[in-house]
Amino acid sequence: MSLLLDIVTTAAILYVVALGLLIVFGVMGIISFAHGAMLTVGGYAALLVTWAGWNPWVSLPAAAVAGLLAGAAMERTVLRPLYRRPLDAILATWGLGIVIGQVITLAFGRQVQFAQSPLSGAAVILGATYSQYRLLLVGVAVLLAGAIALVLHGTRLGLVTRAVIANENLAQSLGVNSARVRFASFSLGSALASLAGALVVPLSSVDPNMGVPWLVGAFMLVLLSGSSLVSMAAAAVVLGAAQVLVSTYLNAVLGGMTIAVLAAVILRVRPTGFARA
Amino acid sequence: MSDLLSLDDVTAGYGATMVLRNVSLSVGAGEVMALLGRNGVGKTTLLRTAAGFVQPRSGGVRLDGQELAGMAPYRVARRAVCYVAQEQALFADLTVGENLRLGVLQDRLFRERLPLIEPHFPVLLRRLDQKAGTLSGGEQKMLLISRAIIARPRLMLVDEITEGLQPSVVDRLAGVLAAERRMHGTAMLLVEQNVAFALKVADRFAVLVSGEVVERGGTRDADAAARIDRHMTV
Repeated sequence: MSLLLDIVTTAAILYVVALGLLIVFGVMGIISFAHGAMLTVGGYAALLVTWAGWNPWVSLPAAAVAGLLAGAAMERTVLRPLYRRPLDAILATWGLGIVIGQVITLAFGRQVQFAQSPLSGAAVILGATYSQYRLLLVGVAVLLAGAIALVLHGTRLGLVTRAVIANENLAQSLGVNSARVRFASFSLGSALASLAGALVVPLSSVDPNMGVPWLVGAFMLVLLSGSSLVSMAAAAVVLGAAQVLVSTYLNAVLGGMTIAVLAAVILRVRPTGFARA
Repeated sequence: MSDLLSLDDVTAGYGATMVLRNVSLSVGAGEVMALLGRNGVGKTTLLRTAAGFVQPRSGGVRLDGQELAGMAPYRVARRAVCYVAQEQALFADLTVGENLRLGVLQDRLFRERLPLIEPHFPVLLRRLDQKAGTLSGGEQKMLLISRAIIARPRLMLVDEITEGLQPSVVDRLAGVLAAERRMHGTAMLLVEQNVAFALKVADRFAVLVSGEVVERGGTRDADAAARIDRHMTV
């Protein structure tokens, strides 16, 4: 039972971490290499909340707001002029990620630090004693996916976003300001990345490079999923299960490599991954 | 009749290639103008220039006297200009209803204006939840025109709507466009290769050859068909 819970919660964590990247990729057609840095921003937002002695739950909205503002500033000042040069835009996100990492290092130092968890203790579920916080993350993943699906399929904003994803020129010809949709999407994607940073901090620690390993996992998940929330859920379960099983039965180090290796194998066999062809 | 859309001495193209050369053309308020010509003469480029997707190298594009050159396509569309492209003009993975909702700028207008298409294409109202990509070719063209109708534009820019359609559907579309113009005074610039359709729906015509207007006149002129045809044959 514990193994099953490990798989489910690992999949949920991967999903939460990759969600912002998926939104940016879906709308803008670029992989944001600043995603890891935005995760780190969220981690440090949680650390600041801990230092301030505030309720640890405050770290979640604080991280989301920090990510939203940073993402909005990045899109407006750096990425917008590069819309027609996607490769340059991708490189720009890489550069932005480095800059953010350096700024964080200057401000907080290189040392590993710890933020307070908003939830501690264990719960008994189907006879197994399990971390309440990891279980909470499953709910968060479902909640976030549901909220985004609701916005995408139940609101005007969602409709025009799907229109821009499908055919930006056509959407523009119908009066849709696609630049505004891109702005909103990158800002939201950055907010979700920082929120994910604050959410994973209680499972690990805070340091200026904390986002890098998560970026690799999120990148692989998005590569396998295209721009579909459902496909990403399937990919998260498969990759999460593989990581947990390899870590449990073989070796923890190998487990860390599993996601990248398995994603490469899946893409070799099925280039569309879990997305519909 | 005052000009709603006017292109004055427009030269435009892609990169170093100029597709339109010193083209002047106007569409009056409530008027239907047909732009004819063989493949590759620049008809679609002219529509894309009017819609804001191609910026003219020289000359002016004006709507109601206001310069459109340099304006983003979505801003042109918000000035009640509806561009119906020839290809990839529908969101195939969105439903018929969602495609129609995107034709209006606010959702409340969608329900208000849905009855506008009922007399023309009632079949679409029964298929609002169906994916647009699963409609037949003729039904997709009906959806394109329906989306343009509920936008209530002042000007429709329509690119080869009759291509690949059976004659009965072409006749139906001609009737719908004529009714739309009659009821709402919608001006239209129709790019066409179907001469009979163009002569039936339009008031005036212009023929484009190698990016230049070489012929123009009224569609009721006795020799209109002959003057057009001599530029349409390969």
